[in-house]
Amino acid sequence: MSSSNNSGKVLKLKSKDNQIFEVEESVAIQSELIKNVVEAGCDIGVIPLLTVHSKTLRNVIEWCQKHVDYVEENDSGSNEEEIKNWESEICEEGNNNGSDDEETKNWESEENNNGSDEEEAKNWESEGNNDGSNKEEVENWEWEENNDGSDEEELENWESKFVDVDKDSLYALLLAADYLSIDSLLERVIKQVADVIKQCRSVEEVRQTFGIKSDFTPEEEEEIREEISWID
Amino acid sequence: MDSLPDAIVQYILSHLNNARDVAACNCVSKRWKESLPYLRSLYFPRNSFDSHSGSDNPDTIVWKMLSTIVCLEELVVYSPFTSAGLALWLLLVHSSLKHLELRMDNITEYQACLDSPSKLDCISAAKNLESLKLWGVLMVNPPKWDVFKNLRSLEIVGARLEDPAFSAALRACPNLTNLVLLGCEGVRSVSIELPYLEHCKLDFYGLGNCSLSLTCPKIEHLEVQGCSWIRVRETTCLRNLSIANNAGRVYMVDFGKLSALEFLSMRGVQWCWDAISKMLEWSSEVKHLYMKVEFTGDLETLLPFPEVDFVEFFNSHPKLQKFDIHGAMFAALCQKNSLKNVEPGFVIPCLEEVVVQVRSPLNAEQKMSTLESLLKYGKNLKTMVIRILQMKSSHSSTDDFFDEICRLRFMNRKIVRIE
Repeated sequence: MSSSNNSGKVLKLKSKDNQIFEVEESVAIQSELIKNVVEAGCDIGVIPLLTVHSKTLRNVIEWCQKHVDYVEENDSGSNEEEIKNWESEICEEGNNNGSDDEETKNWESEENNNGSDEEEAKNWESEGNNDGSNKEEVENWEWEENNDGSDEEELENWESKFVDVDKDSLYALLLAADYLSIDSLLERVIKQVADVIKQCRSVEEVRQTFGIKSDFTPEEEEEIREEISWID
Repeated sequence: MDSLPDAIVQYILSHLNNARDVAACNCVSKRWKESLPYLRSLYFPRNSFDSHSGSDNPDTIVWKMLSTIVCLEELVVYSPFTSAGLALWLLLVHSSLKHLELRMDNITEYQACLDSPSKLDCISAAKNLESLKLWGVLMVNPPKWDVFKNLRSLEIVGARLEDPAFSAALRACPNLTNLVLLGCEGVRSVSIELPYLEHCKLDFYGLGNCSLSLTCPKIEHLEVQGCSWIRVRETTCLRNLSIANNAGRVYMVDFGKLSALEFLSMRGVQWCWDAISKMLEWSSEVKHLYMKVEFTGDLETLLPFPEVDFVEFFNSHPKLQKFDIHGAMFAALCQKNSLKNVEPGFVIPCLEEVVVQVRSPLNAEQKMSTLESLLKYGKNLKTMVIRILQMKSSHSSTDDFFDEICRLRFMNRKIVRIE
């Protein structure tokens, strides 16, 4: 990668079980925690994430990558935070007047292209983490003008699949999202947990699904059951 | 689950709003019970208490649940309730409640309006409401409402209204930006003066002879069904206008110049020609025009449209991008002399999409000529959809006409489509 500016910077994140993950800064700073570390200028080699297991960290990184890519594809001028992230990576040279220019420069540094639409699309395709859905995204992106709605829909579908996991994985994601302060992930997982609760049809089912033991005394439990008898 | 911090548990549970789910969660564990007071929204579906046989009555059950919540912002109750119950609920939640939706279901309960205070009157206690939606309302007496200063949105679905009662209700909502009345009976004459109203949708049942006067300088979107007399004077912001009348005749429309109008829909069985021609005149900037008026005529007799000059029409609507020609309009454009005035250099610059409904093979030659002209002068035309309905196929001229249309499609395959 060219090193004419900082946007290609790679961070090293260490999971609880001592695995090192190399992540582009633009992706990693989706986490407010990591963003604060970077902005504080700490030049530590590896950022330790003491409570996040590698299995979860891998998924979290995938989430962050997806969201960075989504923003770029959609040229989201309204996403000020993303822009600011980009701005903070680019050094003083060059014009900082338009988000388009900045995003283009970022692509330049990574893949040596000149920022034309088609080439950005090709970059997408050539990156490692590709499954079928990426191809679709590229096609969506090329028809960009008419397809704002379906891009969003596509992201939503991706997110729904992402959170469609077992209870323990969901908890792990929840705790990681909270610790790392990744709002988008936290919101989506919380919504998923709430959806699971809504699907339970009785108190027992809720307890069973979430592995919760009642801590009411038998009398208390009976009183509450009487009060909520109308739900059956 | 135990390892999650309290704030997250509260946040998760705050996503629940169905009263059944909330009630069940109250019983899961102490921690969950203690996390529920932070709910923002509570919803009781229609059948909440259908199978209930316990000692408490539904009003009390709702009250008990509300009493555990700290700062409720939204309450939706579709299950039956009494005005006494409603009064007690609002006593609990009035300061934080922003959104209220109730199934009043008392259109047929004439004696309900003798109950004092009525359910409608009780709503007044929720002084900080920002939105109110009521289903099945009987408003024959003016509701005893003080001013809802923060109310931005009022929606009433299914109602029997009396004019003075409705006017009184509107006076209590001076800051409305959104007003929707669907399936409302009993209205004869409505005058709406709301300085901030932007979005208004009115659907009046009955004979289709209501009169509407609207003085709302900020109005952007207006849909009206069932009025025969409409006056809207200040229209500089109006972008979207839809006038329909299925039951009666539209005979008077009075709008200012519709300089911002982008979409106009005119529908109905019969409109006076004066009303039609004025609407077409005022909407010179329109981008999408939908016309489905079947007949014109000032009195009982249903008449076809007079001739509409093709060139003049498109010259006076230069920004037209999409045109839906249903009802009698197509025939009007196909009169003998419509294409007489085609000067050199005439174009229909912006037209991209046309939908034409063809119903009879009468005047087939002219109709073909009009369709061809649309293709010829519409330089940017991307789609033309020809809908052929109910042509009595016993006559040979019908078949000939259909052949002609098919030929047109064949020669313009990229553009023309038949449905």
